[in-house]
Amino acid sequence: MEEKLSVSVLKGISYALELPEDIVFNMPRITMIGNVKAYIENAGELMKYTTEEIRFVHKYAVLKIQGESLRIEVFNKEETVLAGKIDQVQIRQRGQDHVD
Amino acid sequence: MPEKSIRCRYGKGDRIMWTSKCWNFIKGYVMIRVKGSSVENFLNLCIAHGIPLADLCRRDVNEVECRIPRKNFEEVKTYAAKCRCHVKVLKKRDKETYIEGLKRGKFVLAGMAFFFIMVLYTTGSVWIIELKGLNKVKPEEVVEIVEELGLKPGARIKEIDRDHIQNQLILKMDDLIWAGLKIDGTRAVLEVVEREEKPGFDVTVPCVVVAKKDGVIENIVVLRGEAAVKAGDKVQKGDVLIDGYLRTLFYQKVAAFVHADGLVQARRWYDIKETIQKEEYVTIRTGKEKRVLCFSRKGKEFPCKIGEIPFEKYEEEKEYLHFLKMGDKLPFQVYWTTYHEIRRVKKEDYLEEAIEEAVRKNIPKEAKITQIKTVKKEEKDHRIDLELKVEVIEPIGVKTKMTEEYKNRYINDIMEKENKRKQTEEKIN
Repeated sequence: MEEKLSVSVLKGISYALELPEDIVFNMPRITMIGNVKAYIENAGELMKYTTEEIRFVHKYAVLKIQGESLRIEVFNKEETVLAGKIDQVQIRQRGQDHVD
Repeated sequence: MPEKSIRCRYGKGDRIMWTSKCWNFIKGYVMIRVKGSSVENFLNLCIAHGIPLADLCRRDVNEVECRIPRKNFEEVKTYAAKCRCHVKVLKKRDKETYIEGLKRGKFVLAGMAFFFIMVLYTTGSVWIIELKGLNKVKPEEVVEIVEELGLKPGARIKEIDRDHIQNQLILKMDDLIWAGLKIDGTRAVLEVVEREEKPGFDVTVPCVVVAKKDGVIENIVVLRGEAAVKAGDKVQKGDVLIDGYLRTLFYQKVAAFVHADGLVQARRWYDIKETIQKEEYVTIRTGKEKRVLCFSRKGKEFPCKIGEIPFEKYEEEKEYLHFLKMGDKLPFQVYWTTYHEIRRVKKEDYLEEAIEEAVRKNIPKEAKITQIKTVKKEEKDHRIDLELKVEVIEPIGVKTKMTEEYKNRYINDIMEKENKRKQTEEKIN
């Protein structure tokens, strides 16, 4: 309950001050170059890694990337760089829907 | 599953990758293969402890390859044990391995050192000497003196005394009035200015302008002196066109003879007889070409081929590479050979061009052509006999020194005219 309240307060503050959500809520920020590369900031924990699918679990969301010959070029706390042929990127909010 | 290489250039991540790779190369890294049922947990554990991972690649269902910093290797092994994973070292690169590698490759090191020394040596010397501004003076003479002064191919740039060479060159060669030496990389550019020939006589020396050719005067512009002819007059070679005296000054008993100057143009006619070859066809380039890099040594050519030249008729053009343009100094020559495809086409205006060429050959450059008339035209087999009459307007005045005879004649002439004038005045009175 307290957490929900703090989230709603933060939402209100970020809306009023026009602050970016990725900074306020520490949400993942994804930058893509075509379908060959993806730069992910705040990616979260790695849940699944195969050459066809990579899945990250974040505090607020689950991030699923599907494709072919996927590989992780850089993996550290700040940034994750994915390369390969990316077909699909899915983000589901945690607790609401389950990611298949 | 085979790894598919997908490359992306100029991206932000590539710069990151490049810098991180360089950093890893300096700091040292270990390439490991982790095998276990919970590889993801192991990776998360590494990240949570601030160990950066790179080049992750899934090799099998339970196998992942990745690169870790050398200093974190021992730490990583403990995390792998915690996650019940097995770690296998695939490649290790750190200071020790670099040093070992260098020890093994002594000759490579020596070669590299030799290469760098050679580069430093060659870039610190002059290899090409370029001479500019020479017209009458022979380049060999300048080169000989300059070599004596220390400027020759292979000379060290630091040892070249530019001021000394410039000064000595001017002192040793009377025909030069200025010399400037500029060193541009490994090329020395020596620019000189030659002494101009002195004019035949000074502007203070009295002279007259006479005709050097026959003609009919078209126009006359007198800058100094007095006009002896007018437009429309027919003159012959040697006739005086501009007199070198001033009548008014002469009456005032002042030095009357001056340096005559001016422009005199005359209409002249040239008879030209010329035999020209019939050239109804001309060879032109079609625009198609093939370029080949060639090496030659001792007259033998080694083209970097190519196969056959794809043109039936072609002409060659050689273009030497500028940076290797050292004449016979190099043991080999490098140049581009361009093969241009050629085609013969019918030329319709060949006769006009031939006439223009014949006129250009026979008429002085300064003459202005006003009319070309074909008097006779006889075609014989492959040649044409032409007779042309060309009308031109050209300058015919030339300055000559005033002789004593000329001076006396003009004094007498003026005296006579003066006497006549006096007589007429007396008669009127």
